[in-house]
Amino acid sequence: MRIMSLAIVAAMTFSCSLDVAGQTDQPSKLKCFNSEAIQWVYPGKFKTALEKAKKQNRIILMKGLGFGLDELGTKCATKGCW
Amino acid sequence: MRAGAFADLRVIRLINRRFIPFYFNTGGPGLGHDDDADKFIRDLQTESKRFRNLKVITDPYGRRSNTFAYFAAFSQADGGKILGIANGWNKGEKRVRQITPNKKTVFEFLLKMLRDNPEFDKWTEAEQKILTAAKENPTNAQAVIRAATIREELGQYDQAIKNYRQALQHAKTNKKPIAVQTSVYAALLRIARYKKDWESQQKILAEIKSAPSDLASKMGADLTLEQAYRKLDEKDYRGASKLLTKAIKNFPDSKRMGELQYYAGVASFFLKDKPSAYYHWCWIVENIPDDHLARRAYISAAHEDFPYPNYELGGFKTNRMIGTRNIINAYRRAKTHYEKRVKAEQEKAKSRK
Repeated sequence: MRIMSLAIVAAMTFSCSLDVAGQTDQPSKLKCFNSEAIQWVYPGKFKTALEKAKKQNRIILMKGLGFGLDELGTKCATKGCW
Repeated sequence: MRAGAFADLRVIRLINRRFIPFYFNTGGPGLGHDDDADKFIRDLQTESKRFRNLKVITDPYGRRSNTFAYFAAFSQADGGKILGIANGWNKGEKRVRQITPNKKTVFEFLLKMLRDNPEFDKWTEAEQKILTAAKENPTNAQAVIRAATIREELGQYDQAIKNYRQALQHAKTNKKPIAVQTSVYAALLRIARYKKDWESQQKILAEIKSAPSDLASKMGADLTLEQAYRKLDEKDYRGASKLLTKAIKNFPDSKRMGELQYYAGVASFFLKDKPSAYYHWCWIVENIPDDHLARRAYISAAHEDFPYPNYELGGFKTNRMIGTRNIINAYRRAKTHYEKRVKAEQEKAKSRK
């Protein structure tokens, strides 16, 4: 059952990374937009986040995700799969 | 949360001004793992039960949160300390219990983290310069507006309004460019919306309409959008839809097109006109995917197969067991309505020639 659950979750993740439905990996066609976004520190750079928090004396916010990040999602918080 | 709180401008600006945000995969399949973040959390859980206990909440409907997914605040001092978690914190005497916290909850949670931990809420050098400049040059409208913006982003609305009003007075007295007045009025309308103070909104609108130099016409989409927000809050969806569709036509270059289209979609949703709702949401995804509301538009277009509450759509969620592929297919179905309408518009335009 556990193996089945893991397999299902893996399949979901794989299917997500195969196809982002052309949603957000294309640039905007028009100029009428506001691209303000949270300035996240990306996965793999937690030490950078800690150093920034120490230097600037700020609180770290951590968004933990159970699964499902694809390559685009690890490099750009507003695009790809999370 | 990407389609919800993280797409909200108020939340974005507060996080960027006062926090260090980080995301990672806590251990499931997929990419985005981070050994250093894992150790940080593991050490916390070893040292203290508090984080472990805080992660699990049961909402008023009896649903339990996913302990692998969370949004929490930490101090990095002394090896790390949990300060709070967004889906279960004490708001006065009530405990906030939302499996996926909405944009208002997140904004209030962030302000609480700063209030409870003022050592992390100090002015930066750049902010101090701006505040000092405004104090030393109270008749310099631009300097005062810069200070007001900082206050607004930190949720200090009373002080922000005071500063904005001061800037407005001097802009009028010293005959500054009209853009100064329009930016201040846009800010005042924004704050009235955040506070749901529709009485103040009414007064501000009256000021704008009676101002010389036809100020109202220079405000672009701002004026219409803020009035539409009120109509949505009062559930006058027909009124909101009328305002928004007119503004979409009249202000094609507006940087707020994402908001115009998204909330036109929301109004259509509540008017049970799903084809129009899908059109507006897919318009954002297909034409301005870099807009801050693109993800929200995508998820709203796929709402029939999305398992978490969509707070913009009255908490709508499916009760079926679904996965990512269902969401992608739901968006595809919604997109057929968008494509149908685009085709119809193109044919209409052709037949006119």
